[in-house]
Amino acid sequence: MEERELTALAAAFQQGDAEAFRRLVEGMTRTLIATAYRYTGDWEWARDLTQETWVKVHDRIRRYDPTRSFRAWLFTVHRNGCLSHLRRAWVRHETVPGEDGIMALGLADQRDPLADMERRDLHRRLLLALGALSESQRQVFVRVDLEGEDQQAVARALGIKHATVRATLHFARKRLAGLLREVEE
Amino acid sequence: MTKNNDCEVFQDRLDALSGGKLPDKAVEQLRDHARGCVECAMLLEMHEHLASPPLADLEDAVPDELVASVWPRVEAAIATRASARLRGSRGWHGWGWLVPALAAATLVLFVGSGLLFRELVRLRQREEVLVQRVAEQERWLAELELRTASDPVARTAGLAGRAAWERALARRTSVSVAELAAMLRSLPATATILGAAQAEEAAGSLPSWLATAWRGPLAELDSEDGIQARELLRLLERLDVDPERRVSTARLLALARGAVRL
Repeated sequence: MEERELTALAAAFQQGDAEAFRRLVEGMTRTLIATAYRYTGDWEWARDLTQETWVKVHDRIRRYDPTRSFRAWLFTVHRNGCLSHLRRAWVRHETVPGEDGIMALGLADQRDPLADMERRDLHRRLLLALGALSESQRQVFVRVDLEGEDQQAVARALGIKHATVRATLHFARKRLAGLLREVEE
Repeated sequence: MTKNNDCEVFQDRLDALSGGKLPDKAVEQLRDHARGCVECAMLLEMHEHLASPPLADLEDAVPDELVASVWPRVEAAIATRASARLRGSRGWHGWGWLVPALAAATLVLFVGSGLLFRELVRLRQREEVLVQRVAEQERWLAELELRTASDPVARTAGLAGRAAWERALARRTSVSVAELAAMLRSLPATATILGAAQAEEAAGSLPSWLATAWRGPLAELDSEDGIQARELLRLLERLDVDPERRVSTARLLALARGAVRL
């Protein structure tokens, strides 16, 4: 869905147009589920997080500034929900929920079960290790590496220099790689 | 190039490497480095893991039924929250009367307690007056009891009143000055026992020894409103006569029947 169309629908919804809200949900749900999957590795959890995001959007739409990007606002709400979900797992020292879901994805490599198991294990360890990053490192890392956002766009969204994003990302990646290696050793 | 430099170059070009934006030769050089460097190998693995599949491919992989299930669930969740909010709001409306009712009850209690307090003070004052009166009556009765205990004439007069007193006088031919004084003490102090005319007459009808002694003091009294028991008693006490000297009751009785008013 185009940015202009998204913002127009959001503005209409803000004025009380319930149909505009339905069209937003139908237009962006697939993207939100895919993004949430990156955080959870589980479709059901990804769907539940997406549902929570839409309920929050419904409740908080008056806070949205129509002169700014609705997509950015929506993803901020969604990202915070996903990170909260991970935080709960970190606090409880649990494994990331739904790691088994990767097998059911259809993305798993059925021909090589061993490689697939390693892949699931890496995903689980990586998401758990995110809890060890600082807030700024985590914000930059999840936006660039999990959500695939452009570094310059992240710099603009966070109001920092591109060089700062690069440096933060660099330290976040090194920290995560170090943590993952420690676990392996 | 040192190892650290190689690592920096590798990490700088990581995005381009995983994004497939580098020429084959450069890719080969970087992968060679990763094969000999555990840290960069881990970075590459992590990066490729996160970047694969690309988000667009992941979107295509989202099951359609999962996407379709979101809107009904969102609608249901919003409806549930709205009805919960409405219930909460109704709940408050249901108890909306409570605040004015409490305010009214407080006001009534405040005003009521003020009125009650005022009434209580008034009753206390009234009670004090009544207690004083009762105490006076009791004191008077006790005094009367004391005086009449040793004096049958005075006891009769005090207990039975004027008629009995007259009867008591009628049963005797004479009373002593002391008995007469006791009789007067048993009467209320302010009781008018002789009218103005009777006072004059009294002076004339008294025995000569008493009339001589009384004439002077009687003239000093303001007898326009009659003479009270206490005034007569005072006169009697001022007399320089023997308390045992007796007075004829016939004269006293005639005087009393014609003039004494209680």
